[in-house]
Amino acid sequence: MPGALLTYRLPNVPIQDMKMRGFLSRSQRSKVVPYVLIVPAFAVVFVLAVFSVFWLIRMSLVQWTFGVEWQEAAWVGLDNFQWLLFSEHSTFRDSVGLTTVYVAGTLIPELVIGFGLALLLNRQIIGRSVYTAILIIPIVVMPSMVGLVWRLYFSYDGLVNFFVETFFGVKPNWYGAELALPAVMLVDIWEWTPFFVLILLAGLQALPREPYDAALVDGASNWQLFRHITLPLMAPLVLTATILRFMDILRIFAVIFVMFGGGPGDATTTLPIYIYKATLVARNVGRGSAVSVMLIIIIVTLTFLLVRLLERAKFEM
Amino acid sequence: MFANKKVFYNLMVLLIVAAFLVGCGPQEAAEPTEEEAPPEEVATPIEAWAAEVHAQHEGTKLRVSAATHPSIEAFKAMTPRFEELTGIDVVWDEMEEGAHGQKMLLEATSGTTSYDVIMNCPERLPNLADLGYLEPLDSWLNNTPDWFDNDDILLAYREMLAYEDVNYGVPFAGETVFLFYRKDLFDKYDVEVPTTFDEVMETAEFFHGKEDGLSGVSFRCRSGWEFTYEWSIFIFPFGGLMVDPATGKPGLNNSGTVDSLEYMIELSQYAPVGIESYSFPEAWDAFMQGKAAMMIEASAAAPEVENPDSSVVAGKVGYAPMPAGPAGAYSGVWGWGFSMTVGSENKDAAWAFITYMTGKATHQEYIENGGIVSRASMLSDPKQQAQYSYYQAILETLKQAADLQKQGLGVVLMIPEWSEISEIMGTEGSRAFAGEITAQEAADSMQAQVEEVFSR
Repeated sequence: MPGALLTYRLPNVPIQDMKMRGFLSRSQRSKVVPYVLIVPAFAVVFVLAVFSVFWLIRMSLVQWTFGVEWQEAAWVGLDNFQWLLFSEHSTFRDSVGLTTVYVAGTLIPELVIGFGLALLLNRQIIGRSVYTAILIIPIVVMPSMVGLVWRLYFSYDGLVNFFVETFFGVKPNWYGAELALPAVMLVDIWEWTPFFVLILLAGLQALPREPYDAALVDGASNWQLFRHITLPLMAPLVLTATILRFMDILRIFAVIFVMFGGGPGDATTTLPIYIYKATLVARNVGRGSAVSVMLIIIIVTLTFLLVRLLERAKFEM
Repeated sequence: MFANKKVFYNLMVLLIVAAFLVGCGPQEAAEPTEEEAPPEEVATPIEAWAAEVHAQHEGTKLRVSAATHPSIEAFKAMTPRFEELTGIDVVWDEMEEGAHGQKMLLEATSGTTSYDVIMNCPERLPNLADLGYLEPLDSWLNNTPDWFDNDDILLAYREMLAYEDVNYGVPFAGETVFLFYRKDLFDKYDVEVPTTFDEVMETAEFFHGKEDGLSGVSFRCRSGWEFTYEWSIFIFPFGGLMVDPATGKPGLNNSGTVDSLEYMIELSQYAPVGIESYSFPEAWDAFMQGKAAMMIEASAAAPEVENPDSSVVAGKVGYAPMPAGPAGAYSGVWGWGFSMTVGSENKDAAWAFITYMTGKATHQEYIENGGIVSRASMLSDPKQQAQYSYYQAILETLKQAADLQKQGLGVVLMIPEWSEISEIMGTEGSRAFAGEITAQEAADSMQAQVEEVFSR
């Protein structure tokens, strides 16, 4: 962050050897040089992020079909946003609802199961490194492959129904409108729970031993150890992992796209799928950009709140 | 050339006598034997044509952009021979179909030209033509060798690559939708092949669950363009419309359109469980694995269905044109062709490439390499019909498609807004199919949204 530079000093750098000598005093140079050094990185970030977001906002305010000359784009102001939010034919609100269900229904189980598995693996068990290595597999498989494989597993005569029928005696239709979203959520949980396991396991292994020893001397139970030592100490890491995963889930695309393409109907049309369909399939770039802008606002706002939470957690430590 | 004069004279006499024999004898005798006309000594018309091309364009590099497709595989197999004959160097740039479409639009919108020849289809044609990206081909088509024979390419296919009465493409692959049925099961239960949609419903109901794991019918209807593709085949036989050709206004909420959607939803109860998410590979697979008695699908599936390596029903399948609905029997055409870019600096070489690959004289080689048929002479040849049992049905179904075209209608609207309209139809239709809304509600919503698209 540029703000942090104000208090930054280059240690042991022979600034007097630099060409600026003579123009500025030593203390002035030490203030200016960091800004000069950061210009290239800042320029790249500006072009890639700020400039493209600016264009995205601009495109959300026009009516333009990809495949028609840009000169023909008509300025429509906030019409795209108005249509998305208030038109009776817009399924944007359904899509926001679906995305909320998707995020809550995957993030919470992933965190809980991931933390649980990390606690288990943190004990003195044989073959821990083997288990950890196996847990990485779902993460490294290409998402489109994950989608293809699980699409087959969830077919009516597929692997999932084989087990469901064996244990519960029913054979659900995962391809139907009711179960398509739960199906992709289960895949997400399968794929990304190991992410929490790996990060939280690393955190648990780095915890200091002394607080536990002191608590044990005082006669604390296992639950008390977890509740009053492990959880507070792990809170910043848990929050960091949650923020990273949260931002990632909101962008989830490949698995849903390959498995159901947003259907049946619009049962799996989460916001990224909605953006894809509007922008690249229907080629209504204005409307697709408007959804993208709203998604960015949602992600930035919620991430900001989570980061504030993280700061507080660190402060309380 | 001939060191020994005797050999030369003997050969001359032999050729003259052979020429007389050809003139006197029946037509079959015209086929040259190795003794009469060794192919390496007498240039074929293609070789003579290629020699001219070679002289002018040797060393020219052609860049061809294509989507993944069986016909492209066939062309790639034919490319070494083309390069050898003409001295033109062909560089294929192949990508997934959706990415290919986006890439072409990006090129056209940004005004760049990275390719000399591109693969094109009716859905993309209006945009690419409006952006001035494509070379009009009418004057080029007037200047083709005899062995090319443009008129032999099926008219329905040629029309799909014409926009506002200008030809922008030479078709090489086309498909239509017809009825696949299990001959063995129909014989076993003594069932007649359905000729109306009512009979299709009855037959599907009859076969559904008749044998272990057997469904009545299979077809694609995944949300989006695949739903639109399938449903558009049902719309017109029920008297429905997408756009009223008389007024040019959307007609998606008329009673025929709603009826066709309701029919499709009703028919799906005799389809495999989960059909609401079926993409075309799954629809084909259900039929090829013997899980459906009928299939209403693209003719492009037929080679797969008849391939014993991938299909357990190969050799047991019959093909029939689309059944009739209350308003008649119709089908549609889709397909692919080659277009030239306006900005190409190698147009003559590009045209030579298109001529060679899509010509009548090379069509047999193209088919043998797995290409999809596009020529009338091939489809109506009795020998070919005996080998490919679905050729006759393709011809009959194309007549149904032509009947639709004559009324100014088609399963693809040749307007730049088609991709958006197709997406609206495919999503709303699928919502009705999944039970989220009724067919009438879906039709009303489509109508309102398409009206909004038209009003811009």
